[in-house]
Amino acid sequence: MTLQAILAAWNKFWFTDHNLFPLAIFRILFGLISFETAILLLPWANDWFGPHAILRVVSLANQDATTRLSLFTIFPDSETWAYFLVSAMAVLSLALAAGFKTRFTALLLWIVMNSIHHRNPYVLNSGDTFMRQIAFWMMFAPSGRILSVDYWQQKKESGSKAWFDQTGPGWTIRALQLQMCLLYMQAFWSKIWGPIWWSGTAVYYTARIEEFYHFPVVPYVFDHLWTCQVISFATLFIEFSLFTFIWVKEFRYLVLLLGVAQHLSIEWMMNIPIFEWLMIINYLLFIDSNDLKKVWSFVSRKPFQKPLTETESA
Amino acid sequence: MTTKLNRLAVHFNQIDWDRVRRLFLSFYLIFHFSIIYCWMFSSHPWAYSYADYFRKYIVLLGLDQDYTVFAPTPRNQNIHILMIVTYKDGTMRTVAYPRIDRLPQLDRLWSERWRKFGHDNMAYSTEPAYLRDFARYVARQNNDYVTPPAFVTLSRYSVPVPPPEEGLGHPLPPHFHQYTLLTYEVLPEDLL
Repeated sequence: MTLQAILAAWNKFWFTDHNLFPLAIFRILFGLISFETAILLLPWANDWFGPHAILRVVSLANQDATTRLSLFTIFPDSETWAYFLVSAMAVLSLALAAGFKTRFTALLLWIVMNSIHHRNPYVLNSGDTFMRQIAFWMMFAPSGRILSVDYWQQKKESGSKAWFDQTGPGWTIRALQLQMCLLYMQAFWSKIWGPIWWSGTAVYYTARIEEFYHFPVVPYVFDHLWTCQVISFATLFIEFSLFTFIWVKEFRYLVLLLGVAQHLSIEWMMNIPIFEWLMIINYLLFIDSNDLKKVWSFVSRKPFQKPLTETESA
Repeated sequence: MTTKLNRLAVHFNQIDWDRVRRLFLSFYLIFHFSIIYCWMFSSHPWAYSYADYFRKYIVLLGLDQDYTVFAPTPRNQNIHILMIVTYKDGTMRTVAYPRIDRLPQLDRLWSERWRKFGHDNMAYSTEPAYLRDFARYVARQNNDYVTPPAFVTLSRYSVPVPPPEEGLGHPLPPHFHQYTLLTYEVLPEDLL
């Protein structure tokens, strides 16, 4: 292998233009998930982020004084401000989903999200952390070029080409893909050091943590050791595949299907809102745009429209 | 002077800006992802030092991340938190912290962050300042009696999940281990 070949492969990986359809769909769904997150935070905004919140700013600062991006440090410490910021997160999320001034909206959303997260990190879960990483890359991504208010306005002015065929710089898509793979890599790597995962009993224990109970599961599944072991090993295998085999084109869709199945199972079984859906929508970034177009055409067809007869078409 | 400027402008126009952009982005992506990688996999001292050197960049921009859920060993304790508020006149009030498994489905969605805060972060907290803040908050929330709260006691009730050979096919035991996380004497300024 020559240096030239390595550089060419690097350029091909990061800087080839990508079709923007998967990214646009991802932006819409990410905006909606972020909106849901904000709505779930809103009733407790004062209890978690307000001046009389459950954790005081001074206690957090004493624990770790590193400077953090937060609008709470600039504006007055008030109840109104706490509600305003969480409401702003909801509005900006919807604006991002709609693709209104997309990059600027993504920048504002990232700042607001950081402010909320840095004010009280002890109410956050992995889904929030991952959402913050996505918001970071969305500031740079050309996600608003299609299926957006921005596109509609631009089209009105200049009559740009069909949105199906719009391409754009792919490096932010690659960054988002890589970020997702790092998540699975760490999830897998941290588990394999636990003997409980190797003995296959990890799922036995997690299924018995009462605070995670969500919807009822078929009794047999977690009442037998062999089923718990199979699910434990499958979890490890799927997490491993989601940062390795996912890059092999022939395996990609199978890996994504396994990932979707795993996250939907967890969603059914465990009360961990947002996270599972957030992971599933990330898979869109790995789907070939032509395949996604086929799905789009199938979904957006008009099932009750009769095909034109020859006479009508004439 | 004008000739020099013209020459500079010609030279400027000849630069392959796309190539410069790619070069800049390549350096940035290597910088960013190498730090994130070392932050997430910091078991090696070199990786730790490298990530720690750029700690300000990571923390300032909210790029810190950790996805080690249920790893390396999932929690094997079922817990709940109970709060006892003792008022100045000696009256005591027991306040239950939200228990997800006992809530209706929709409330579970809304209350998940309370679970995260209480069960994941406070029930085993080694940071007394956070527990004191928690106790102050409980005092404020329960300052609706004829006399103000004098003490707040935060307790954790727990029970280990029995191993498979004992637990399979049996209901889970009640949370019978009691541990006092903190007893806090409420000050007048805590109630403001």
